[in-house]
Amino acid sequence: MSLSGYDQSEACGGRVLAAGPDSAGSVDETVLEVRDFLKIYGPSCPSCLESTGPRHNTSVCPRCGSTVACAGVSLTIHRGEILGLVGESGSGKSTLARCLYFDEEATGGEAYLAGYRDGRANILKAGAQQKRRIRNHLMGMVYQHPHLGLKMYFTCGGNIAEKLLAAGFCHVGRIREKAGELLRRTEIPPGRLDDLPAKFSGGMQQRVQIAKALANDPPLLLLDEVTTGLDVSVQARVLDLIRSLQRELQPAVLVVSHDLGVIRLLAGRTAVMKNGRVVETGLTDQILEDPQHPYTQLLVSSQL
Amino acid sequence: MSFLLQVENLIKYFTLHTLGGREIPGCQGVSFSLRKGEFMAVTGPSGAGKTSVIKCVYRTYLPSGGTILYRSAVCGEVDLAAAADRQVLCLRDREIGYVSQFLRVMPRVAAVDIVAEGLLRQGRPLMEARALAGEYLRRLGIPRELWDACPATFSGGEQQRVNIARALITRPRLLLLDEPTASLDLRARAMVVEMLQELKEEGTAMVGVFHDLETMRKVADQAITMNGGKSMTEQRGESRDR
Repeated sequence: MSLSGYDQSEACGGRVLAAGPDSAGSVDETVLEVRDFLKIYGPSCPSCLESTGPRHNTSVCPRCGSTVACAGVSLTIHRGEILGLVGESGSGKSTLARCLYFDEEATGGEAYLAGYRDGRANILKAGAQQKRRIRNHLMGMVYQHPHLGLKMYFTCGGNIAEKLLAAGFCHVGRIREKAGELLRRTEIPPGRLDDLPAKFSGGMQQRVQIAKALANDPPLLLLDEVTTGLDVSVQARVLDLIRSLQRELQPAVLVVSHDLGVIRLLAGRTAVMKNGRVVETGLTDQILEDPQHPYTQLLVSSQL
Repeated sequence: MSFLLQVENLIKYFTLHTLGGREIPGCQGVSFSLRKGEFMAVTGPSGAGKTSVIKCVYRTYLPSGGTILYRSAVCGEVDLAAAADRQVLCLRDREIGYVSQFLRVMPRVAAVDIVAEGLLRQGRPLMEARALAGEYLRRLGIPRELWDACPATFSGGEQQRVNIARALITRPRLLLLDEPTASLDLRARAMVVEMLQELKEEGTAMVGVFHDLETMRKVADQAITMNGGKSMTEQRGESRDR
């Protein structure tokens, strides 16, 4: 088969993800595009997809017992945009974030990232070495539990240095300088650079995690329930921090949360998940004030 | 001159699945059009569908029928009833402002930063945005010592003024207002009217929901009165011959 222009555009679904410099703002600069994402835990059988989902009110296949954590999930995030992903526990939202960060392997589907091969190659199918590279250079992740994102018995600076080294920084002085700057941005006293995160409060650990996630200036930032478990005053501080960093650095952000309050404050657009499927996508204020799907209506009307 | 906003046969109803799919009417068959620098007031009793109309234009509500043609400076002609979410967000950042009835803000964020936010989103430098935000708060009579406080603890009238400052500061081409003067005293009301007049003179078109008819008469060029979701009467040229 010839490598004509047609074939090439066909290979990426006719879409170009790496937009040029923005003229009318960064309106259509797609950073991440996920298409028909699938993740199944278990052996899976032919009836898995048709017998799970919101219609059946379950993610577990009655025939083979597999869990369909995500199926048919498609979404895009643009530069400088925060997309909210909301849903109850077990709806599959964190699974999507973890698979995008390659913590777990996707069962199927495609994901394209602007910085990787011009957004024309499916990152879910990349080799192990390529995945490491994508993760180190193009993504940042903040987990709900700081111990997943931080090495508790490495110093705070050591944790950030680890990410910087992975992203190709090799000058020690430069690393310390950058680590200091990241801590300042995340409002951690520079004097604590050499302290262990294990000795920090929950909110502070979360801020170190954010500093680490931002170390490589990632075009894509994944936030998985970052404020869950923090008390409200600390939560407000972390949310405020995320908003100002986002405005300043303009990454594309995926915010996974079960908390509609968090989504309302952070996200411009929101997707709602239930039993592994996206049931509704819309402007965040529209999702909250004029929800269309029965499940979203239930979710919104259940909020405190 | 052509219209900036043209609403035709706008219909909104809410399907409540939690009540077995019951349909609650919002507004039905509302039509109006607005030129640059024109102000249209929407009046009528509570529950008449006034807020539904402006929330549909802002797309907080998804219209059930009809068209909302808006002539954008950056995107050309857009049907807001059907536009993509991304495009609506872009227009909100650049061209379409909204003053809600109640202020809902980020906890712990200072009043001056809440007001400055729209400018920062448009890419203005922080110091400049904050200075201008202070100017708006000063004009609206918010005491200097409150600028760095979070409005969560402000009085109703103060919150409303922060809300107005936040929307006006971006000098939108289209401004939607939901009872902007409801909880303001006379002096603050007069200042808001003055600021709205200035914005009109710059060419901003506005749609405002009002209970306060006296304030409405000072700014409105036309008015529709709504009842039971329908626009009952339409009047044009009220403040023209002032």
